[in-house]
Amino acid sequence: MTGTILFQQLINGISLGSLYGLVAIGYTMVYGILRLINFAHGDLLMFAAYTAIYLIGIFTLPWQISFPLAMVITGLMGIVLDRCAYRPLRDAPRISLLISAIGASFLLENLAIVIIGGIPKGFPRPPMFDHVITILGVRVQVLTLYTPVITIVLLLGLLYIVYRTKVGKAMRAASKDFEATRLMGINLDRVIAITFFLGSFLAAAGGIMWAMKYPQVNPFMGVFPGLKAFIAAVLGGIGNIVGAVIGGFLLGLGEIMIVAFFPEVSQYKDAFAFVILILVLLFRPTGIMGEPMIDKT
Amino acid sequence: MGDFFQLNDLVMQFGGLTAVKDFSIELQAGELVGLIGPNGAGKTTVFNMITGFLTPTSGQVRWQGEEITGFPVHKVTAQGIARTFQNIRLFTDLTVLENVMISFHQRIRTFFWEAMLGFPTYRREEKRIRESAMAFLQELGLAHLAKEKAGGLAYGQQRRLEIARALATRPKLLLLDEPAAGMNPQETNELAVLVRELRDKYALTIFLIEHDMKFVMGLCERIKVLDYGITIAEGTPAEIQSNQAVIKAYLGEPK
Repeated sequence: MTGTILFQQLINGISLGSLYGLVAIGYTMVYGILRLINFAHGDLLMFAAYTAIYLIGIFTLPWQISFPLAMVITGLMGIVLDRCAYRPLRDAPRISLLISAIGASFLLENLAIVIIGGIPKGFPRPPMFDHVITILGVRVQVLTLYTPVITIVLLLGLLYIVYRTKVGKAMRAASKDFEATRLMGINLDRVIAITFFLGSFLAAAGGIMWAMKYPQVNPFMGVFPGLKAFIAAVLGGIGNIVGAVIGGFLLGLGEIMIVAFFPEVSQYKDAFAFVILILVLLFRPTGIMGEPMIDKT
Repeated sequence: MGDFFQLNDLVMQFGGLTAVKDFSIELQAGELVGLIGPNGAGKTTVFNMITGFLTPTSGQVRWQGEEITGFPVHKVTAQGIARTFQNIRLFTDLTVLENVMISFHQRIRTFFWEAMLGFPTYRREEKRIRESAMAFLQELGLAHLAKEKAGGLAYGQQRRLEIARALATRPKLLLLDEPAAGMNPQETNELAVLVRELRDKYALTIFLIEHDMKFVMGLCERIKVLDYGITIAEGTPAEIQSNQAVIKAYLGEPK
């Protein structure tokens, strides 16, 4: 193994990891407030990718408009998801919410099959991202470099919202105590809707970049990235936003490095993530940055 | 004048259990009224029905001449009714100052993109809120702890922060659920002085639940007694102290 290859794999790992991180943020935010693993979250990647395809293909919008627009539409889809699948169950036992989440996930996937069909569609990657440059003797597609940068920018924006704005303050309060939050005159349903919007908006960014990286869009494209991102969120400490991104980076790097160093086990790449999940749950259920979560009523 | 605040025949049933039965009370603006009763008598249930955490099975909550029964919690708060909890429920991860600032949320008109873009309207409002929140902390002797995490405060300080947080919603009616619980006699005395001061300064009407009889008798002008969800007595502290039904509820039947 030469230094160049190691460097190459490092870049690939960071790039993949930042995608996991972006999607993991949505899991972690929703979990922080509702104590719900939103299993339909991964399918929003697929939703965002198809939305972008149609905005470009049918409405012939340039990607500079259709990508952000697809992110906003996916954010709104997150609100719809909460409104239809979770809000009616606000006072129901936690397990009902979880079942509803799994149901919502199947519904989205199968709706996509019925409406769009199961045949993979190509994703129109803007030429700008195809460009290849050479750094330190390694040829890299610029998309690979943009991905972590975009992730970090979005993360900083999110942290600003969560820690510096009133909505963020309300979100942090809601993650602690629903009733006391409502007593402060805060409309809890609105805070939860905004949480879903932000998480889904970021998932859409992840989905679009995923579709550019692997330009085959199909109704199940969100399942595996979704699961991996969920593992990243658990690894980072579920409920912790920065933890989710760190977990994502670690998982992405780990996967890529396993393949690079042990090519003979590369077909077990996906199993690696689940082994990590089991180990974390066994030995450090709170993850890297997590604190013990109080069980809210 | 009689329409400041009224509860009319409130009933709360959980399945077959009647937690509160036919509870009625009328509060005049500026009054300091106590609600006492043995454990499990339904006192906190009454507060939960007023603040919207529970929708009464029947009966009415009337506020300033209008019915607010079953309003969502945040709307009740917006009407000017605030409460504290029996078991302290601060946002322990937020700072002391943030805990109070969050109460201003309901009156804020700016959106988060304005905050992100650092609009001057946002910055001015943020500054104004910070100053008003500090004023409440000053009032309750917590200003020096503004930057601390609320969870790190001593017990008595947490109780006072909860009151500061409730005051910041600008209530007209303040419901205190066992404010003296866990306090030593000296702290309890200080609290009684504070409650009176706050009522006068902010023109509050106060309705409180408390087990500390000395505190209730010394502070409240009028007291209502609940036992098993039923009102068994009502009157001035002196009347309550000599009421046979109350003595029976607390001490049991004389042998």
